[in-house]
Amino acid sequence: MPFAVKNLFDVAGLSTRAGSKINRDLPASPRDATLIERMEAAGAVLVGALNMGEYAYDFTGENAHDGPSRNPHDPARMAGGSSGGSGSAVGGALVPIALGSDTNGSIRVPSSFCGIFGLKPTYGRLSRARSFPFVASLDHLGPFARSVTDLALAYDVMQGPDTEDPACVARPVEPTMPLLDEGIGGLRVAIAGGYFQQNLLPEAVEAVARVAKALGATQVVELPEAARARAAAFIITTTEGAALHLDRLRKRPNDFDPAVRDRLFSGAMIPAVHVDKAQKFRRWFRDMVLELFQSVDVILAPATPCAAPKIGQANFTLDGVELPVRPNIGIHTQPISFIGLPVAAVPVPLEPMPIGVQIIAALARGHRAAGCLRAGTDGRCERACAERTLTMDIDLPDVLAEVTAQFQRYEKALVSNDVAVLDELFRNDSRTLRYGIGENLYGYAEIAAFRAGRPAAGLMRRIDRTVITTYGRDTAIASTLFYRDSAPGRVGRQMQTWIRFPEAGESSRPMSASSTSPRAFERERLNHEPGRSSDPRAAADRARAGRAARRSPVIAGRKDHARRRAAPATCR
Amino acid sequence: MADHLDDYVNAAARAMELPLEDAWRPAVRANLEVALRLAKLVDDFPLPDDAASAAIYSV
Repeated sequence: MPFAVKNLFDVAGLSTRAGSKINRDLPASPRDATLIERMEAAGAVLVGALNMGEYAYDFTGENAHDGPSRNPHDPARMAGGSSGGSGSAVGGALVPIALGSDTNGSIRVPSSFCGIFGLKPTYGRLSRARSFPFVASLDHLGPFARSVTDLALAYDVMQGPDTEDPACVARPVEPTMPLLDEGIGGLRVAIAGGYFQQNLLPEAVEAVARVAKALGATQVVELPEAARARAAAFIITTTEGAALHLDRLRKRPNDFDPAVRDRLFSGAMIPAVHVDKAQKFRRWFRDMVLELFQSVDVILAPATPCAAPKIGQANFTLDGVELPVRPNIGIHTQPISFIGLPVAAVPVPLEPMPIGVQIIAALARGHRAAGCLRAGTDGRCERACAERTLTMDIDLPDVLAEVTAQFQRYEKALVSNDVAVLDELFRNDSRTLRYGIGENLYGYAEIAAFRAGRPAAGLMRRIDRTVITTYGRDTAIASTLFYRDSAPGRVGRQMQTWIRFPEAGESSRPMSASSTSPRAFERERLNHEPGRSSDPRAAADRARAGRAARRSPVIAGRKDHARRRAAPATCR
Repeated sequence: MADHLDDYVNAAARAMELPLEDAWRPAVRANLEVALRLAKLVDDFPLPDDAASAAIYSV
């Protein structure tokens, strides 16, 4: 199983960037992070490191150095942060599992915005050894996945004590996989009220209501002083973060993302008395919430106040008050991670954008709530994730119309020997190929030379049983039978692969626009029926054509396309 | 308009040896203002004198 990691995990041979410019100057890590080692020991294969908000001080997924992580449901929207690349990569089906970190919500926010599952385990449950820190007493690592099973599988193989992380507890592995199908099993599920029912847009309210309905939850409980808990988490975060980066702030302030630098400068100026008070309040709040968990087992709360905002959006309006987006996306996640509670973010597939709900359990009892993940969404979110993974839009009417028009244009050019149009419709690339009745042509130049030298006579043909199928918005295959009066008794079979290439124009523009015509791979073969040439060279050509057909150029093109799409998320 | 918080930002930057440039000062001040407002929210919560810190805890 392939997986990828937020680029604050040490990967042997790479500098651990943590989303920064400064860390690129660090020496290469000599060894993988513990969680990578455990995933690979279980058979997973690390395929890349992912974009993130600088030094994990971020809820947006934007990065001043590498650009934003984009939302797989709408590239103009935020992926959420700081584990934005992890959310993008899993939500966009580039990898089934990614790892990220969560200090104040950095797993749960991208999970919510990208419509996937994310697990922030109990504090100390998963080792953080050989990952770049942010706030030691708040940092958690955890997995993202598109299914509950993958999430549980990753979590289970990463569990276990690790003396190389002082916060990692010495608890035995408590497998969650066997518990997934147990349902809620008598668990007492409640909805977080008060603070957690404020500052929400309608989609967040709807998402919590849907999960509550699926779990049969009607009881509302209030986490006392949640607003103060969020405030205390804010103070601890900004001051511990400033302490971590103080030397870098002094020596290389211009190499920070300005938004991160300015907050860390501010954090360095906060008097210690406030930090001490925040830490004392933290224990009080923890004791109160643990008391609350005497009467309930699971609490539901929104993961984010809204679905993913637009990239670069500065403000949003919550409860009638215009607030800055960046610090307020995590207002519902911060009080929970503040005291290390285990939380899974589950996606609710609303339209047009998904949004997540937090399923919160008592400390170290997260595994007991595992059954809620599947039951809580009635399987709908998993199906939505799976559909995103497996389903491609086939024969979208507008795309089918575009390709049909281009197919007809090609056919008209073919029978009239309009060489200019034929040349235009083939991609100018050495890998473009064309198999004809008596020639196998490799590369655009060979094809163009053939066109230029072919007699114009005898090209008229009748086509039959044409089938055009489009896959997504940029790929199509056209198949047709054809007959020529000059070849009585023979039937020709032709297949064309149509790809929309960016260099042919803006990919979002219609295929049918002449200025943005897609270039095409064409595979054309005319079989002689009955009988075939006995020429051994022709037989060899046929064999070669057969091999080429098995190496379908469509697949090659899709792989190339996939790599191009992967680049923004996996290479940053 | 400069006020006591501007003075504090300037003094703290000097004391902490932070190379604060003029262009950054308004954003730093704005962030500090938010942080101090949140800090006051925490400070206003009464805790007993023997309240223990949760800086380090285990589960």
